[in-house]
Amino acid sequence: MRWAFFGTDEFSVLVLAELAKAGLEPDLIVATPDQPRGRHLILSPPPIKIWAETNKVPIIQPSSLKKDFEFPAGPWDFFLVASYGKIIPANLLGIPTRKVLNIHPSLLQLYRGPSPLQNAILNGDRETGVTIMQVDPEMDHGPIIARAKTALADDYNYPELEIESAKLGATLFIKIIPDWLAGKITAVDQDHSQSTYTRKFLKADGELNLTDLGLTNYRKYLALNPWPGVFTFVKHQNQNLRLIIKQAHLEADRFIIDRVIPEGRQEISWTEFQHGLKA
Amino acid sequence: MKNPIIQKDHQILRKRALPVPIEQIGQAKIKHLLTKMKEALSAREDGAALAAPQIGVSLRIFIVSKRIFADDPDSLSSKLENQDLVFINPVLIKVSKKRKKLEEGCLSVQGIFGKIERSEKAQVEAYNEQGQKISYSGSGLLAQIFQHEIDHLEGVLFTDKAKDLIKVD
Repeated sequence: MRWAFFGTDEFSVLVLAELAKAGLEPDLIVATPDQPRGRHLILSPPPIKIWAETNKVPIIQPSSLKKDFEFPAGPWDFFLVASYGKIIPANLLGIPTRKVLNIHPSLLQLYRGPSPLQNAILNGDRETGVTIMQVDPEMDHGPIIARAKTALADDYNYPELEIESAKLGATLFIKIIPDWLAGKITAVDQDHSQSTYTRKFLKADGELNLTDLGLTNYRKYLALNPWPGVFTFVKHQNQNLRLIIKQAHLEADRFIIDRVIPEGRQEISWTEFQHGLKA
Repeated sequence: MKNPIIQKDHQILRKRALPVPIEQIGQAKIKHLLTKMKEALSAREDGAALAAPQIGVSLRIFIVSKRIFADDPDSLSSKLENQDLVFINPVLIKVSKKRKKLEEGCLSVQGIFGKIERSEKAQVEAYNEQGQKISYSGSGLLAQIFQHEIDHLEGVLFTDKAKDLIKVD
């Protein structure tokens, strides 16, 4: 069996680490190029590259998969895509004999696009899951091979849900891949009329209005950390001060702030911030 | 840290500070001390004022950060070219009878706040950096600071008098 794994970020690493534990190591990893990251914009390898180097799996980082790009020679049995970060162009879809598969952390056709987990938290869903589907030329649109559901607890944050979803997806994949390769599974079309979409978040999405419902703000806090983070503006010594909320909790349906970073200052506790000046 | 602020269990905070000999004002020793006090205070974003014993020198000096005036363009300090105010050998010559329970904290008592009764207005006489006699009246936060700083020079911490002390991390 020869297969390639397309992935880039933490979710990709979590999935691949689980697969490797079960003895499923890819023959090639395809990742997006190194990118400037952090506030100093240092050119950094994607997390999957670090995993690839540690585990001595060959990796390529093409800047584009389109026209001029020639995929390393086959034969290939399948490709698996997990949070690769780019659309897989149609010219690659015909290469592997058993198709291009994708692990997507939602119950498709719900939450297509780049931020399904965060949106499930924001909407207060009681249930979420993962879908393994066959990639077609449209985004998160292909027929479904398998799905697994999981309950979504009240105070799950995004990093926790990401880990759980990656494990769930990897476990499901390990279970179905022999049957898929043997041709025993038929993929079923999504109900496109019921599809919903997500988009990438922007910094501005993290603004909280403290007069909103406590639960609304708390869900934002859970979903939008570590990125883009949540913040608000408060009146402080006659100024409108931007305040990043680093830690918070819910108490009797009220959003209680625990730790903050006031604009241009270091992280302090909310109580201390409110007490203000010392002499 | 360059100029660490001394914390509550240190005995120097409990001593009555000594007056500065008038002829020494403007000399290198006192100038140097004032520079160190300003550095220590400006290094603390949450600092409003600082007394000399808080950096380990038992002399009757306190300074008030220009930052407490920052919101009020008409305030005295704006007129004083935005400098920290210096009070040498300060004397509290008048306090209002009217008192108010105020929230207070101290750079030398980290992580503790409390409620304390302070006069709403206070007048201080002192010498400035150039050795000139000055008189300064303050109300609200400034009056509170005057009383807090003069307590420091008497070896008194706000926690001696404050009620409802709360601990924050």
